[in-house]
Amino acid sequence: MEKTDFLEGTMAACIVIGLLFGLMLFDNPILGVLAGAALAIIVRLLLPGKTKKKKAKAIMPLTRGKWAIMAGIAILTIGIFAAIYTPLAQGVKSTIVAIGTAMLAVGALLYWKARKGEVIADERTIKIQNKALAYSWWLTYVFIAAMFWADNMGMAKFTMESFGGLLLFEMIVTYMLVRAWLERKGDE
Amino acid sequence: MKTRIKEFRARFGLTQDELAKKVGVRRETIVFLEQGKYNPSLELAHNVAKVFKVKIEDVFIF
Repeated sequence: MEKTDFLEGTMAACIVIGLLFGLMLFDNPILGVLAGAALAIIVRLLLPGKTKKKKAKAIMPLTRGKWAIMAGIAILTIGIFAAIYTPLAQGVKSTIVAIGTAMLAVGALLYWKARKGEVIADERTIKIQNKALAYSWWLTYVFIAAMFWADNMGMAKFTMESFGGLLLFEMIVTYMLVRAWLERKGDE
Repeated sequence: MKTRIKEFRARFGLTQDELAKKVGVRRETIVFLEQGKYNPSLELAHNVAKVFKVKIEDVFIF
């Protein structure tokens, strides 16, 4: 079988599977088509094309952007489905759509940079990211402990929702701050 | 760790960006290396030394 035939067959199968899933899960053919299209785009990005075998090395740096694009499409699709057809709270729906859009934009940027031949991440940036994650984990631990004792001693009252929201915010902020600090400081 | 990258770069007429591309890292990493603010992996040290056609210990001062 030719590679293009295989690719087209897989794409068609994805659309059919997406349609079936859409009908089963949401009882709506439009959602099915959308789910199928999203699945087809994801598979197309994952599968190598006709001429890509020779350029195996050059494709490697594009992986990161591709994954972000695929995740962005998937989250955005879920967000759109949720926004139209589910009774979820407006805040949750818009958050899902916003995360999907941001991920898609970041993925596109990474993909474009990788295509230009720019090095997106090297050993130093990976080392910094890992260190920042480790620092952020410990800061989060301290933050949780502080919140727990503040709640326990009656200094503040947290609901599950506010606790989760604060944690989400704290983890991202501490990671970004530590990363910025390590970028300036170096590892000496 | 102190390095002589800047000196070798000047000798070979390479910019930071060109050297970064040759060894497959970001330009900022070369800046940090030159400032002595980053300890490279053995692989990166080897690649940098290879570009300048010298031994690792000629470029990196331990």
